[in-house]
Amino acid sequence: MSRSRGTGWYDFSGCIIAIIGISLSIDGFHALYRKEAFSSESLIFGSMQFWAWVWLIVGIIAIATASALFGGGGRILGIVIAFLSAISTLLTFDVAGQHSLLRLLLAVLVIYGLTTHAGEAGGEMLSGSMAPDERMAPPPIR
Amino acid sequence: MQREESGWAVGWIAFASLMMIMLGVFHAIAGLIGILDDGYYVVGPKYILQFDPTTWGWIHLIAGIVVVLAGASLLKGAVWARTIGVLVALVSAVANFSWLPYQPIWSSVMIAVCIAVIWALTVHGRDAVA
Repeated sequence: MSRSRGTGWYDFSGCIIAIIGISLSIDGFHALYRKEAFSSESLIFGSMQFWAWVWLIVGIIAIATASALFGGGGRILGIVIAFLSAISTLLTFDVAGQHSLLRLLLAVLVIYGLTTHAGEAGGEMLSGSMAPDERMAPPPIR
Repeated sequence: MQREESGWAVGWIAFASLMMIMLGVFHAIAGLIGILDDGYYVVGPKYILQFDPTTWGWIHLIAGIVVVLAGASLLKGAVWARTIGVLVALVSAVANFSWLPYQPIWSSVMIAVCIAVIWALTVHGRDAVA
């Protein structure tokens, strides 16, 4: 039971990170081809070109991560990518405001799903935490 | 594994179905407004997916019909409709991201509904032993 429940959280996080990845890639392409659409003077640092590539690359890695999550792996990669997309989003908040806000919330959802619940499926360990299955399991008998 | 999950599970599937039907109706309303009232959606001339509001209207209307049909199949208990439901909700969320400059609040609400659908179907969908 708990096994399938945990797998469900992988699927969930995969879908959400796919939404983040696709929207980041679209925004990245947009910024590459029409820089004037973004108010680059409100960037904290870097040029619009730089951030366009950051969005595009993080977006494409996020889409790849989604497919890994659908296969039941990539838990740590998913957390890292959600974290990176949250940071890149915050640093460009004034440039892509509403999209940034939504992506930030979605990143939080991904991290929530992958940290608190995905462990229920067993599999990859996060340092210092144990999957509930393992905690409950009796010591192995030789 | 003989926990009495089915009562709950049926509830989650019903929840997802109704959310999808609601999402579809939202799409259809947004679409009909775009088709019928040309002046309603106004956006700055700088968006990469900036189609004519009428084009967006048709996209929304068709998406709405697809989502309502998928939701209705899910409500009738079709197992394949769970996979379709997740896919449709994902595509709808991405479409709403792209449509956001036209109607930020609506899109945000619709993305939230999409996530509710995905959550119910992925996390709880398997509870229903088909």
